[in-house]
Parts: sequence; C-alpha cells; structure tokens
Amino acid sequence: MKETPKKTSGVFLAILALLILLPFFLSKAYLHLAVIIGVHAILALSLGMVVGFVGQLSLCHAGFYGIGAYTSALLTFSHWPFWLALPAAGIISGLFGLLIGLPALKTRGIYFAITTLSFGVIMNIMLNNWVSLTNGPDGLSGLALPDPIPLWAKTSISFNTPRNYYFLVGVLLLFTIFVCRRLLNSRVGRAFRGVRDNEVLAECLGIRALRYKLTAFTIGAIFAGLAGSLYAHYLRYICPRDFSFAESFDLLVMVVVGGAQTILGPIVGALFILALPKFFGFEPVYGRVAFGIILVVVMIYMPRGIVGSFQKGFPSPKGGAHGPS
Amino acid sequence: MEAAILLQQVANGLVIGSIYAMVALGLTLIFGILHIGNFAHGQLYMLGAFATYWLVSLWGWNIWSSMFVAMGLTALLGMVLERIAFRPVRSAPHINGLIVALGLFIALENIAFILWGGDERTLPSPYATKMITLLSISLTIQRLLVFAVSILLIFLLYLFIQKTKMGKAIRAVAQDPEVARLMGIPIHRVSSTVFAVSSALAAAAGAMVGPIFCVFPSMGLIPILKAFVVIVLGGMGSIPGAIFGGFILGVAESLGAGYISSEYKDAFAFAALILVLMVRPTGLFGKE
Repeated sequence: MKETPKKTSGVFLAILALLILLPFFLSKAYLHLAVIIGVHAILALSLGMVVGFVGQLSLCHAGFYGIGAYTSALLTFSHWPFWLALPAAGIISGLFGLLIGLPALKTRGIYFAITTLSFGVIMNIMLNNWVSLTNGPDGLSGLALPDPIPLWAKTSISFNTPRNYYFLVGVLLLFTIFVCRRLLNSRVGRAFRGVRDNEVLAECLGIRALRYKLTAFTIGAIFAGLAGSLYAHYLRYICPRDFSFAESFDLLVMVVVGGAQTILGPIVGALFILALPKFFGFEPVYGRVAFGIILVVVMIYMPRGIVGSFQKGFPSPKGGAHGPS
Repeated sequence: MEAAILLQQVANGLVIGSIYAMVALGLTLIFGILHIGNFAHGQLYMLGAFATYWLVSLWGWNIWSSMFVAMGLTALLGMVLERIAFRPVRSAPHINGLIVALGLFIALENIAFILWGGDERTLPSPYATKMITLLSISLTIQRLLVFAVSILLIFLLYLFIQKTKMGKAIRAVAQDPEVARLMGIPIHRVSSTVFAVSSALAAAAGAMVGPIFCVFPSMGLIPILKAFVVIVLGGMGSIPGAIFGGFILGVAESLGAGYISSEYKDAFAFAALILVLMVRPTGLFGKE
C-alpha cells in the first residue's frame, strides 16, 4: 500500500516538468481546455475533501464555486485588486460553507445529500432572482483580468494570454494538492479517515465527528471559492447557469469516477470527464449520451474509480453477501 | 373572495401534489429495496409522457389505452435498467448507485433530445379545455382526472403492497434484505418487480400531465427533484410518507406561490425541507 517517497516524487517531478512544457506546444483551443480542466481539478479536489476524506455526499459544491465567482466579480467591480478579491472569494465561500455545513452535517447519508442539494438549488435561485446584486440570469460581464504582477524595472507578468493564466491556475492547483496532502498525512487526516470509516467508533475514541466533518466541508468550500474567482476572471463573464446543481453533479462525477479517497483521483476525473468529449469530437448531445453511458460502465466495472482500481489495497466488496449472482 | 382564492390554490396544489406523490412513491419503493437515490426515475416519467404522446398523435389511439400501453412499455424499460445497470452495483457503496442513476438520467434525456428534438409538445386530450366549477373552484376536467387517476393508482398500489404475496416480499426485502434472502425470497425478482411498478406509476404521471404542461426531453428534472424533497420529508422508504409528503408539498408550494412570491416558488420546497430536517434529521415519517 505504501509507496516509496523517492519514487513518487520522481514521477511527480516528471509530470510537473511535462505540464510546465505543455502550454508551449498546445494550440489556443487546447490551452483554453487545459485552463478549464485545471479549474475543475481544483474544484474536484476540494469536493474530494468532503466526499473522499470524510465520506459525506455533498451536492451543493457548485454553489460555493458560484459564491466565489460572484464575490470576486463584485469586489473587482468596486475597484478591489484581483489579488485581494481572490482570497476574499475563498473566505466568503468558506463562511457560507461553515454556515451551511453546521446545520446540514447534522443529517446523515442520503439526507445529507438531499439537504445539500436543497442548499445548492436555493443558492442558484438567489443568483437568478437577486437581480440588483447579481444582474439575474443575464450574468455579469466585463470582469477585469488579474492585475499584472510587477517584477523588476518595467517588466511584469500579465495574465492576458491563456498561457499565463494556465500557469496561474497551475500554481493554485499545486497549492490545493499541497494542502490536501498535508491534511491527509496529519492527525486531522487520520481523524477524517476514522470519521469516514466508522463514525460511531470514532466518536467513542474521542474524535468529535461533527467538528472534523465541518472542517473538511469548510476547507472544501474555501477552495471552491478560489476556483470560482479564477474561473470568473478567466472567462470574464459569469452567469447563474454555470453554477447550477448540474455543475455540482458533474463535480461529484469527476470525484467518484476518478476515485474518491485519493488525491490523484479527482484530478484524473476532471481530465477524463472534460477531455473525453473533445477527444471524440462528438456533437455535444451525442457526447452527453456517451458520457452518461460511460458513467454507468465505469461504476459497474471500476467501483472504486479509475485511480482507485489501479491502486493496490483491499479488494472491492464485490461478490459479498448480496453480490451479483 | 379571499376564501375562494384560497380554495382554488389548495385545489391546484392537490393536483400538482398528486403528480409529486406518484413520482415519489416509485422513488421511495426503489430506495427501500436498493438504497439508491434513483435520479433516472424522472426520465421514466418523461418517456411515459412521450410514449403516450406518440401513440395518441401518430396512431390516433385514445388517451386511456395510450396511457396503459405507455405504462407497460415504461415498466419494461424500468426492468431492463434494473437488470443491466442497477443490479451490478447493489453491493457497491450507495454513492456508486447514485452515479449510475445520474448517468442514466443524462443519457436518457439526451437520447430523447436526439430522437425528438427539444420542442415543447402538447399532448392532445379531449378533457384539456372543458372546465368544471364547484364551490367556486374551477378546474379543467384533465386536472380533475390527474387527481382521480393518481388516487386510484395509489390505492391499487397500496392493495398490491399490503395484500399480495409479492407485496409482502417487497416489504420484507425493504426491512432486511439479508434475512429476506435467507427466508427464500427471490430478491432479484422483487427488485425487478419494484422497478416495473414504480416505472409504470411514473409513466402514468407523465401521461396525465402531458395535456396540462408540455412534453419535452428535460421535463423530468423538476418532478424528480421535488420527489426527492418529498421522500426525504416523508422519510426515505416510507410509503405513507411519500403519499402525504407529495400532497403537502403540492399545496404548500401552491399557497407559497399565491401568497408570498411566485419567483421564489421553487425555493420554498427546498427551504421547507431544510427546516424539517433540522428538527427531524430522518424526515417526518422516518425511522430513527
């Protein structure tokens, strides 16, 4: 089960080098896709903290993503610099996560899923109907690009090309991975696993389950907010439809198809789900049909997700008491 | 005058509520047996409506025989889906079942879109325009029929669950699949039957609303979301919970839209759900 750290970091560095070189060879359309995949990888990772780390099926993640995007957009409209609006988006989303998580996490299982689904729908209805703040279904347009970072003399890093934005998203993705790793390999991470695998037992051992679930939920919301800000200032146009519960489902699918409970899984999931339709060059409608069928097939033949089924570990509980005859 | 409006709103709410109840009943039965939140159930409602629509408009059948044939076809489809998609994941974590259901939901909606396009069609019905007025409430006969048919079907389902051998088997499996299996209950046939019955019920709901609302590929989304609200309100797996929850939600929504705000109509259902779950985390009729 345990990998040797040296080998892992070698593979990691090789992939990193590849990803740094990649944008210099990609066409503009593919660079755009890469940025979108990067944003969704951050989102899927942040949802993975809730679904994979503490085992809670959240269906309102796109709501936090949207709150981050709108917070950042509205703050930059009132002349905040992007570099302040970005963390502010994370903080505001995190606050919403805390406020929603506190009541919602008192429910369990499918009840939690439906409670969060309800919160997600309500957040979306508010984005649609609170026209004076959000401009309703038309959305907000003309968002500012991130301000250039001044270097020495007169040079600066600006973000007006997809390539530079790619690196900005990449840095935040790395930061997200770093936080996930630190969380998992710590006392908190062990508590997470305890809560996920057996909440009653964890409580008996003195782990306050609600507190850890709330921690994971809030951190997940913070990173979703950051991703929202990145997305908003990349496309420079946002509307409520981008943050509907359909988006929440897509994120959940990325996490589970990629493999919850791992760090690589959600990233692979985002890549798989977003790149696949482009790869086949389907018409969008046919792509959605294929997408739906692939979900079913992956869940039947890879119950632990793509990454999960390549990892050594405990065999899946297939063929148990009520396995397929 | 005020009382008349109130009565009218309640009547409208009961009609919508009977649709919610029919969809929610199937959903709660499936949840009771397989513990899957079956999102794809909303598409069986949509396909039932489409099947009725084509039988009526292409072959000129009358609406009742079309509805029965549509119910049969949809029941068959439900059984096929159970066999090829849901049965393989029944021992996997429940979240996998949910993803399978979402996959089917997306695939079926888009298949319908490819086959029939996104137009909103109205199912022609002789009862759609005739009005009936009673106690200052006016409803089209179609709306009255929606209510009547749903009460009839719910009653038949109740008899089936309570009085037949298969119904008893369904209750046993819902209580404890392991023990039910040990007692020699054919667990796969039970889940197959549950999918058939539930799908037929959803198809009937779709066929009945076809003349009131429209028939289009994404028509299943709102009813399935509301049905989830209903069964969570009523307690997952609870049959009376689904029936009463459906009617309560329909009336509450109708009153909320009439008296508070129609823009936020859809938000009421979800807000009510959150409030109920804060007080009773397993729903109104749910087991602890």
